Amino acid sequence: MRRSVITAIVYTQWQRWLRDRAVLSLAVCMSVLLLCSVWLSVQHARSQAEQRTVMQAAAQADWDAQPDRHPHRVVHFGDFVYKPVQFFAGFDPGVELYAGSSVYLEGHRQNSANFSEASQSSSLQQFGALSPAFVLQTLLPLLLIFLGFSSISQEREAGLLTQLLASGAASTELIVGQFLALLSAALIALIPLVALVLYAWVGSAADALRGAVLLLGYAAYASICAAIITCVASQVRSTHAALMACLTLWVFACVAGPRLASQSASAAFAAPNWVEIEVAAETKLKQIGDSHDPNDPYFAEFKRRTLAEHGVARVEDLPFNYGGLLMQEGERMTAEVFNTLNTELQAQFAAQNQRVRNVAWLNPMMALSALSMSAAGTDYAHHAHFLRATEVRRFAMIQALNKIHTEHTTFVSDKDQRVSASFWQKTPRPAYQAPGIGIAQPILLQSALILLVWLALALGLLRWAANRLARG
Amino acid sequence: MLLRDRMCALALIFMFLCSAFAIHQGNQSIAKLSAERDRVSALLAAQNSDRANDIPEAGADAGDLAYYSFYAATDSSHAWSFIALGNRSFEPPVQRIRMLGLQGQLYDGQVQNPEISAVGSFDFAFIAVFLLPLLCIVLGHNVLSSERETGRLALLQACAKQLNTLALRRACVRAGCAFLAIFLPLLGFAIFKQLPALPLLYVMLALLAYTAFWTFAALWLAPAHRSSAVNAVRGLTLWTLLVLVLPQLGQMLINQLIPVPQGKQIALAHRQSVASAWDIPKHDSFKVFFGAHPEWQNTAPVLVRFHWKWYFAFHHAADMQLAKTVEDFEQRVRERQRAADALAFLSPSIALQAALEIIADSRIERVLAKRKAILEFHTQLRRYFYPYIFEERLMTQVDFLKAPKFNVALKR
Repeated sequence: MRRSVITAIVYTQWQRWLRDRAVLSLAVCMSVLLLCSVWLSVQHARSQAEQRTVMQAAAQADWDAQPDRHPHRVVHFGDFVYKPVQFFAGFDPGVELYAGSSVYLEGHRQNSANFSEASQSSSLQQFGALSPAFVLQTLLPLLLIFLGFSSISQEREAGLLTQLLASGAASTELIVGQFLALLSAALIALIPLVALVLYAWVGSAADALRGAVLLLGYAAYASICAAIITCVASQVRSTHAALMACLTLWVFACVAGPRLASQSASAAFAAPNWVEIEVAAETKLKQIGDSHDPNDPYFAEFKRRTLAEHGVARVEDLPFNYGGLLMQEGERMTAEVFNTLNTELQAQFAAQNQRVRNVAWLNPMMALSALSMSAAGTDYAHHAHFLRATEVRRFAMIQALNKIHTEHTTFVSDKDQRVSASFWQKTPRPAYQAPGIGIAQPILLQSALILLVWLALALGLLRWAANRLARG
Repeated sequence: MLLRDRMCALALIFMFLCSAFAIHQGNQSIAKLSAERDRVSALLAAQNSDRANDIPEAGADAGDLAYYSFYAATDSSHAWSFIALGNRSFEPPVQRIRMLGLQGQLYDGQVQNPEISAVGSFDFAFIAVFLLPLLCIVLGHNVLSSERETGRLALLQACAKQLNTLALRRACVRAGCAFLAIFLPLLGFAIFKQLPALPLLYVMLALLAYTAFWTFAALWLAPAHRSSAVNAVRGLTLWTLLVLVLPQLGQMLINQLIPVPQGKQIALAHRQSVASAWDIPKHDSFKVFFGAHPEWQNTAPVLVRFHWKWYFAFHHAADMQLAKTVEDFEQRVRERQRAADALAFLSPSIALQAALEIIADSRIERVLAKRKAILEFHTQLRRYFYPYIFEERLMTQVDFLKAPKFNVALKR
């Protein structure tokens, strides 16, 4: 391979594109669209973040304004947590529109995350949202098809191919030249992403790492697309047939494939309804022990044990409020039961998602889509982390309140007492810390592996195409 | 010529299969949601009948019964809902409602796999809105240009009048084929399942109009003097703009320009209102409650620390105080839908999606109607239990079992 020949081919291809008014207007459209999507997406993520910060501050103000109360009233007062918005949510919103963004934390139960943007949207939500990730995953390959379908097939159609090959350009050089021309066009479309990554770099190292993974993923995807298009264009008899073949692939990979895979994955692993989870939890708890039932065997034994431990005959004689201790034990059991059920639910969702990602072996677009969401921090793994973390916070907070209940009130006329509001300030309510990219490591590794295998395949295909072209 | 015909035939067969498969998928999704609905309704009904069996002969405290009894509030679907799943893929098909403050429970249970929802559903509407135009472009982009490419155009051009007729006739035949490829599976399914005919007529008209638009768009963008490939690119560009870009851009703009912070505010304000009732004089909560229910004003006053009267009164007072925010919330959501419907004038794909979702009843209007029905049911439930609670009468098994049931169908 001679570098000068390849450079000449890339240069000629670019000249041809720049002279073509149709190509130029497509490129302008695409650039405007990409910039529009970046601007809109970043704006949207920012306003969502702002909304949630305002709500979190309001929830904090409500918490601080609590008067002297019985600690169990605070258990019922509860707390709200709003999911923070990830930096790259403006690039790939992932599940952001569809996942509940706030959770109400209270005693005796675990609540679902509610108020997703989709639940309050118009019928347009079926079309999805215009994000830079969508533009790069779906529209960029289409643009590359438009740019590249005629690259070698045109010469062949005009009968120039044999002439070109005879004039000294090796078939490998021709193919590699066309591939590089297409790839260079694709990489230009990644410039806004590069800018975002650089901006992230200034902010935090963790976001810079996410950005680097995103960049590598999209660059690999762009290379796969460019290689496949070059191959098809070099092998098919006419430009028209080349275009149709590329478009068929594109429709399968980018339009129909993901929906089909998702639909069948959700049918394969049935998830319970939320009411079923709540009822199952309540039934289970009734079975193991009902603290409200004076004859309940579990709590009768619990009482006997507690009294024996302190060597007293009546709960009134205990050095603390037995009512509060009952609450602690009850909350421990509630959390355990709910955790089991929620873990099962999340496992079903994770199984559905894993099924989709396994289908991605057939479709690099789906592999990139998974990698992009995970690296951006907007996939289900990150969302599930938020749900689990809010439960940890809920449990710690409720048990701290139950402890105040146990230690600072008395069993006699329990409910008529109040404790100082200063106690609420000391209750642990740590702010949610979004996880690092590591939380999605298995997904990232699998997706990266799929992309690498496809990249190798696509480059191998290029080689095969060059050989076949050489043989004529 | 043969190759092209073979490609057309393949595209038509592919469309036929896609349509049949999407109908099957949509039908299965609706069946799954109905099954979920029936399962949960039966579960809650069984719980209530257990509770009824525990009521002693003399009756039980109505406050206890009201507090612990949940009723199923089901979402509705009908025979044609399978053509467009719309917001059914993330709206809970059934919720449970009890006599406590409604706004604290109305939005619960939005539990679904967000990665699945984010991709969009594979239903008939998807095939029609996204793939049917592609088929029209594939079939229509080379009606004339292929003639030039095979060298017969000059011959045809010799009689110009005939050329236009030929192009038109050929385009109509191809559009007809495209329409039949997507419509025949639907027709077959409708006959097989004996579905109501009127929605089928609407779907047919909508599909015909959509097919006509895309066939003529493809034809108009495909003059004889350009190559078939360039014509295909032109058609595809229009498709990308109208089917992908414009609706998505619209969605982003609408979400940005019409923010809906009220949902989260409702949850926070409801909690604050219910919790603060324990710290303010009971009289204050009763004052708000009696504003809506003066009939209970003269019942025995509450002098003890806790009484169900006061408990249910302050729960309803919280709902009353939130009425304005809830109205704003629904207003905003409606505004979003109105703005989206206005965009339908710019893109036939938005119009078709809207039409199919209206036929399938899979839009936000259904959710709002369901919430209204739940509100009415909740009111009935309260009114049924209040006499027992405020007059401090015990509730017998028979009385408990006669409590109103939720029926969304009555409210549509």
